Amino acid sequence: MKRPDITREELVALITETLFDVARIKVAPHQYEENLFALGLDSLKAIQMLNQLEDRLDLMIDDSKLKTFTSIKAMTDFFDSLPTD
Amino acid sequence: MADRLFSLEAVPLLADHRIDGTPFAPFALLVEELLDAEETGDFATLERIELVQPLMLRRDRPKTARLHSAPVSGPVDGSREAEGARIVELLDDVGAAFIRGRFLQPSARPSAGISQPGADVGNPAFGEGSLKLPRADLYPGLLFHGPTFQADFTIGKAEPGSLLVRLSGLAAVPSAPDRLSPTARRAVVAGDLALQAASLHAMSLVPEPIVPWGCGLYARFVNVGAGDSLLVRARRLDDGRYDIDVMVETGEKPTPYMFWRNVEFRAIRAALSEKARTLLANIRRT
Repeated sequence: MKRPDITREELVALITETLFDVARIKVAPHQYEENLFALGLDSLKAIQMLNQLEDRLDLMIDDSKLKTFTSIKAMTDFFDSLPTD
Repeated sequence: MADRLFSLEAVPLLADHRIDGTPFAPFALLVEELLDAEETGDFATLERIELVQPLMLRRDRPKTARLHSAPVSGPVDGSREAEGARIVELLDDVGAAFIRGRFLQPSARPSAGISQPGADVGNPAFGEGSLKLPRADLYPGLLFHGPTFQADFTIGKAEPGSLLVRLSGLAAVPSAPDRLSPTARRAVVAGDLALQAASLHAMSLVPEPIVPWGCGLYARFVNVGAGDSLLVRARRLDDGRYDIDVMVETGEKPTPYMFWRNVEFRAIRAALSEKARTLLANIRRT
């Protein structure tokens, strides 16, 4: 899996947009470390979100990552840390 | 260690066990996969079953799990020795468990609360006050299952805190996965339906979608034949878990078939429709 060719800020924007599209949850910058399930995300929406992120970032995400994707920051850190080539 | 392929081709019944479009391996299937690691004899038993993570085929992608079995060292608990006891697990590709349980040899198996085949388990009370729930009312609005895991429900009178259900019109036993015997495949369907019945009782009390997540004991008689319908008694325990007895109706008297003890359900954080809530209210009144 390769790091998406976008900036970290663009990654954050894409993840927050996806979250809103799937679950209608708006997350302000000061909430980026908050647990998404506490903000209203449910298990089924989390799977939908993973599916949409795969499409938008053009990569395949392993299911095992689902349990670590608990916040906007956690997701951004994961994609941001992928190798660039 | 044996590889187990979970795909819509290898395990077609997964197509009938989707949540929000994603196939999830039924709890009853995972339990039977664990049992398949050992020689069960006439009475298959597994204890302390724990679902660690759901086995799902996101976007219908196949998944391979490894079936692992290892002896338990030391005593099983304070009162019983662990002679021949084994931990059986289904593991993902990084070695994390999907599900695990403990297999006991026949000499160490518990029998308390387990009726033997042919035992008189009483006459089920299905009379005037019974609530008929044809499958069209239940699926997919309240229960998400496809045809393999569907039945018509008739809810009879039972004691407070318990539910008595007749399940009829069961689908034919699936022919796959081939790695499981026909009796194990039948147990997957019967077990899933029994868990559905208990979940209906739980959801009638707290209306939120739930799935089975753990179980103190699962046992079934291997040689009990199939019947046209099943009887399920689900009893809610003080801690919210369930004991479930499944009987096969073959002729005049039901015969004991399958037992689930201390079944734990967990909410999956999803919404229920208004129609589903109305159905649950009717079940609660029954």
